[in-house]
Amino acid sequence: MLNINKLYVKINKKIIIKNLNLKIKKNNIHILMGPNGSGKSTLSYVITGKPKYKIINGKIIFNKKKINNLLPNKISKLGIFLTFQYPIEINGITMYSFLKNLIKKKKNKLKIIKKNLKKLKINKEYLKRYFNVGFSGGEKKKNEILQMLILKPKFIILDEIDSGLDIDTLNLIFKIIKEYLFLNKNSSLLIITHNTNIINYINASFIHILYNGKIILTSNKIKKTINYINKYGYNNIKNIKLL
Amino acid sequence: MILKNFFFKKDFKILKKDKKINFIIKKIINFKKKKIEDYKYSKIKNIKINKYFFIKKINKIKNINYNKKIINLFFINGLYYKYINNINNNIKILIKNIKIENLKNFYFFLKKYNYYTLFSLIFSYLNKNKCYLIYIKNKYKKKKKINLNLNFIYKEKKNIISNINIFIFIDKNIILKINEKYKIIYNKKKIKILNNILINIIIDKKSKIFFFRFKKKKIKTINNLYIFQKKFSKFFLFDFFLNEKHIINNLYINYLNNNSLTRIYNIILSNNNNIIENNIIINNNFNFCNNKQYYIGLYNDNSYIINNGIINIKNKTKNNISLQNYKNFILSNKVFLFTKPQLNINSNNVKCNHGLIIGKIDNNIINYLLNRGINKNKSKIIFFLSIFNKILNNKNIKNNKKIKKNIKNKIKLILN
Repeated sequence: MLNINKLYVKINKKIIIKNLNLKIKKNNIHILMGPNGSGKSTLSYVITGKPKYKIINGKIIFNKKKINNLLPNKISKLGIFLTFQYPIEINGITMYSFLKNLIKKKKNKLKIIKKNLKKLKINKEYLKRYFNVGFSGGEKKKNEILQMLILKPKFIILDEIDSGLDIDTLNLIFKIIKEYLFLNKNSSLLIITHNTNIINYINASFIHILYNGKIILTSNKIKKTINYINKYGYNNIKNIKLL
Repeated sequence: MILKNFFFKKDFKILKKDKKINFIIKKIINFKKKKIEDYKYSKIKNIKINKYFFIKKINKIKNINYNKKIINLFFINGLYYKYINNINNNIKILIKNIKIENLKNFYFFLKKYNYYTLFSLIFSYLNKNKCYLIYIKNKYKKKKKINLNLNFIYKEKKNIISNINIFIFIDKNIILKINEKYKIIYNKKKIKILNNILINIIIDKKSKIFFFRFKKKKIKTINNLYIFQKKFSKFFLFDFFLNEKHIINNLYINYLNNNSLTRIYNIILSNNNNIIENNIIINNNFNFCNNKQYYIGLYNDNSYIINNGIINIKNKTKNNISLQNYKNFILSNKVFLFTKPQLNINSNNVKCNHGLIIGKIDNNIINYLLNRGINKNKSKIIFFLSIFNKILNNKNIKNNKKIKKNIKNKIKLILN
């Protein structure tokens, strides 16, 4: 599904990602971990085509199509979706008028939105409020998942979806994501987190560890690697190779 | 009488013969010499209006309503035209064509409201402008809702200069919505229209006035709006300048008593070689006055914009609140923009605030919208609508879809 080969990325003359290789197949769940400033979020921005980040070398291929220099709106139309770590606020535009733009169908727009609102246990009155304005951290994250359910993407990147969420909402969000993956079997997921308890919520197939812009480790022994990180942290990251 | 005749007659002769004045007008309006002479006020007055012709033409115009609840007043080429006698029974409206000989009759009436109006009436008469007095009276003690449409229609094959002075006196306990509308029946490109309007509104106690100005047509206009507010009166102004070729907008607000409130909402969208000038003066002469102004503009191409606002707060006044807020978005390097918010504060007990922002598009918002599969052009429109919606989501224009549609289309035009 997603194939990244020898990727080099820079912002303002500073190289952040160096020689990154990543392969994600259909119906797979991957976890990406690493210390602060290692380049996890930038990787997600590069995949979704943020114009600030310049690709010096390498290829990003999604469903046999090169998406290196595509605009972000065209990438999202191909089926890649990113939940932002810090979702923006748009003052002056209501939730309903924003969500309307995401639905391609001309009829029954309100029905589709209300259906997904029910799933996330969000009140209908939220549609009248301005987009993310005055929302709590959890509500903003729920809003991101709502957009995901409306757009129905093939490849989802969750950028620190679990930060600032209580246990109930975390359970609810991962329950919905599991349902979504079960119903859409061609789609796959990349979770970017610092939370080592993520294994309790979802069964991932691979774990990657990013350090200084390079993927140092990829393994399917998820519990072992997470236990090692809990014990020694990222400072002794070189020893993880011994696993 | 002798003195009076002598003074006025001589004055007019000087005005007619003075070549300098003609030259200055020519410079301002850019009309050719012959055409100015052709279209002096006296000649426009002599035009005979075919009633049947106008009824057919006016019926085609969609925006003008004929409900009995709405009072329509038509000014054709700067002259009041008595079209239909559609006046409510509850409300008495006086429309008088004022002449200097009749001024005695109005003297006591005008004195009751304001002295300034007397002077302005005399001044406008001297300038040979047409004067109209509209008096809206509430027979009952209860509050009454009234809609008043001022329709300025221009029907001419050649160039027009129209000078109109309107004095609107509003009685106590009235909620009045005033719509200023413009129509050109012969919409040829070559026609040049100079529209010089002076509107004086004198608001009595406890009455509420909404004033809407929504202009689309390419008319050169000089808008002079003078407002005088009495105790517990409220005035809301909604100004939308779209597709304006050349406009000078002068607004003067004066409080005649304590506890009055004003809100001004202004949207300017300009492209090409449009020239827009906004001059605003607010005088807080009394206590507990509350006025807030919001201006948002989006400019492209060679547009030339001047925003000049002054808030004066008189000595020894208490608890006045005033706010002036300008937001400007510039899309090209050729735009000339001059904004000058000013505060003249002469008292200690006051809450005043003025701000000015000049900026470009927020790339974070656009990137977010692009990530959701929305076009670049559409995402820019959403961004600007989000800013304009702070005015457009106001209670009084929230349900007006026409305004929103027009603004959306105009933003599209500017961005393209």
